Amino acid sequence: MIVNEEKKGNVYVLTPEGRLDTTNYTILEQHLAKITGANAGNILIDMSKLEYISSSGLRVLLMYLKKSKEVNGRLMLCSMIPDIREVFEISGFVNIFEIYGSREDALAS
Amino acid sequence: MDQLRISIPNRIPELDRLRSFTEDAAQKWEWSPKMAMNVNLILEELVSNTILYGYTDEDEHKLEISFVREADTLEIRITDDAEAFDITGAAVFTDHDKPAGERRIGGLGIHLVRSFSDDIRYERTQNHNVLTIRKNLT
Repeated sequence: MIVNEEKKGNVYVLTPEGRLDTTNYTILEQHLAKITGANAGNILIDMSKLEYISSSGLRVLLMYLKKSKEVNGRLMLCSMIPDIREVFEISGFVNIFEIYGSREDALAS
Repeated sequence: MDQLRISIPNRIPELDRLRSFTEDAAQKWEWSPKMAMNVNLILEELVSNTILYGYTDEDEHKLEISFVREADTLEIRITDDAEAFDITGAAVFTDHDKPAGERRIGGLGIHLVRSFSDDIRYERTQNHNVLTIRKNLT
């Protein structure tokens, strides 16, 4: 997995590409840890290039949703493919994350 | 009936080989992308669980994974010599809808496996866990 990182205003936009699973979730975790550790602002994870997620990936997102809230930041998600959206629905994660249809919608929120 | 089989050691990087095995089966048997993703997820959750929590020693153990294709179903079987663990009877957290701060982190993988499987059977035979999962192809 490759994670692209950019800054849009006060929002860090992370775009993970490929699979987010047990073998590689620490790559995304390092990006999230760096941003929340520096108390650096809000985070948007653009999931348009993510093809697959397992519970290891979900756990990292949940952990950093909590950490963001602790420092009064936001962790937003956008642009999920339908198969990943289904995993979020089954997990109940659609009810606890801010999920947007597009990057533009998230950044405008 | 058509069958594919793989044996992997109990090491997390081996999940990559398991993924390739599943992708080969998906191509050979022309699964939909959704079917391939679901089978991949079921295997990753179960096998990673066994590798991370199933053994009390540091020795190398083998896990056997097989696919049996029938007319309308895929049978996934995982056999291992880990500690006895019956996923069909395991407790699963049910607080998915609670606010983030009140949720427990864990049990999620089992919940996903159960949701994406059409039938799950567990047996303990000759000190081995044998888990058989049915997934409808239609």
